[in-house]
Amino acid sequence: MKLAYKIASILRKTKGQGQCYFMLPILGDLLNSEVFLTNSVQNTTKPFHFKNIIAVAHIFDHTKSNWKNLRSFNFDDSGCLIIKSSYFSLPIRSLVVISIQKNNFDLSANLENLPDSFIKKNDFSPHTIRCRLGFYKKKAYSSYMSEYPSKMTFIPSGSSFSYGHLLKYQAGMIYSYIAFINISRLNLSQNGTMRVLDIDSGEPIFLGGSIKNKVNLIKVDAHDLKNKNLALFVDGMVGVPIYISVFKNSRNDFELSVEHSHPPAEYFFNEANKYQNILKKCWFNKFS
Amino acid sequence: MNPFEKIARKLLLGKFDVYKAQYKYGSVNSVSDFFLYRNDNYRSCYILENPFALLKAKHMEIEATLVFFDKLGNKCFVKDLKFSSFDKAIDFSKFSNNLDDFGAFFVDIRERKDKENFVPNFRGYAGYRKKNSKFYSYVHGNFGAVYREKNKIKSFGKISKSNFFYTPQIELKTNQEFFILNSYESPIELKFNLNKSSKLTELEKIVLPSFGTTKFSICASKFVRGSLPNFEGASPVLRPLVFESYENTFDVFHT
Repeated sequence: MKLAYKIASILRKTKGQGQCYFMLPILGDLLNSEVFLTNSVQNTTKPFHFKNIIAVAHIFDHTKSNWKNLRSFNFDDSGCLIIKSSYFSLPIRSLVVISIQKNNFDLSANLENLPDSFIKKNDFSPHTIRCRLGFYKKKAYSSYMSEYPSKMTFIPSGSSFSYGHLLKYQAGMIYSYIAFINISRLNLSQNGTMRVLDIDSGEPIFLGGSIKNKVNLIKVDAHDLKNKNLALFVDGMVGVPIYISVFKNSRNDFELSVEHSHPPAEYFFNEANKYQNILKKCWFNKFS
Repeated sequence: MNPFEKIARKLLLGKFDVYKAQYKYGSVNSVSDFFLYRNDNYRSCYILENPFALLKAKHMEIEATLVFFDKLGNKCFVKDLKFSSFDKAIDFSKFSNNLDDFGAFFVDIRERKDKENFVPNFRGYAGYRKKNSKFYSYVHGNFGAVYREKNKIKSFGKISKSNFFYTPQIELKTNQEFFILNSYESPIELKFNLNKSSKLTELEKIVLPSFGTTKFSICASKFVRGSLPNFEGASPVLRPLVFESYENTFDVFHT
């Protein structure tokens, strides 16, 4: 049985299954962000934690089209670590990608590619490993359990559709951000296009490019949030849309809500990929 | 799944399988996640997605029912809905007198009028706000695979033969509340443990009835700095929903 585990783990690793990366979007003065991780195996039949592992922050150098290591982080005595956006002097819209590595990882080495992440999942449990990705502004804090599956980093192109369920139903929301993030291992410079459309009128709220290995950030103002049904269309890449809503209450305090939208496949219990493709085709054909 | 994974899975006797081995999803109208509602010092809402409309990128009528349970897993209220837009928000304060102070709900399609072969999976977004606030913080659904067959509420979820230990990637704090929903057809024994370097200390043990909801939290006297929460039970998808309360705001997320 152990041999079957080991072989399956190796095969999984070569295909990028079971691994994931963690995103740390840099949003400058707009919002702070942080990633919280532990060295415990999340879901297992026996409590277990990994020793001798570190977290390594990477970034894609768009001028040279290659990945590079930024720095490493150690887990503390209780097996926890926090990586904050303020630890990096990076411009807004930068994307720090975090992987888990053995503690003999060579930070100084040139990277040909984004390195494989150590698999912290040593069983076949259905949950991918996640980190807690939090955003905060003054005293307001909101987070969600986040991961970026390694297998998605191998997809060279594609499209993404996200209906704006999370944009509509908030009384008095000031504005929302949509942070669309693609992580690509392939050192390719093709980028894509991104649109937020009012689907009733077809009018664009936002039209622009989307860039791989960066935080593609759109701000949607209260007027558009309240009166319109919105949807996000991305051509040229797959990725994760994160919705961050900002509100100011009667005490003049900020409140935040952060969540990622489901991929369209989640609307379907059976043959999810088939119906996802039908759905995307309908929407992209209608709003081409 | 590669061949070795299939072999390993078979050897494990399907220990980690989330769904029951044999199910005919074609015979059901819809499947739904299991969602938490709060009616205590928080208020709840729900954004119900319309998968029929979303599939075709055009308005299509949907008739859905939200089925509510109290914390002991007894059905306590149903809310019928009919709309054709891509989604609809439902404010639970309008029928809060019919609800427990917290519990669970799921989405059921009473009748299918379309001719598609897909089974909609309702994963929607549950929203929570503090009683004195207007702003909702949203969270997607919790694994449920709950459905209705004739008049019986069932789940495709499979209870495991052995226990799982789920340690969310968060530090345990005294301002946290952990909600666990039992979306299975059987009661499930749950333990809330303190995990310090993989050594567990049991804090609380309960038997959660089918479709019931429970809440765990840690008091200051039992708190150990630098420890992690751990949840033990015969389910590979024991994922609590966490509320972390601050001075005037809060965070809510799935673990």
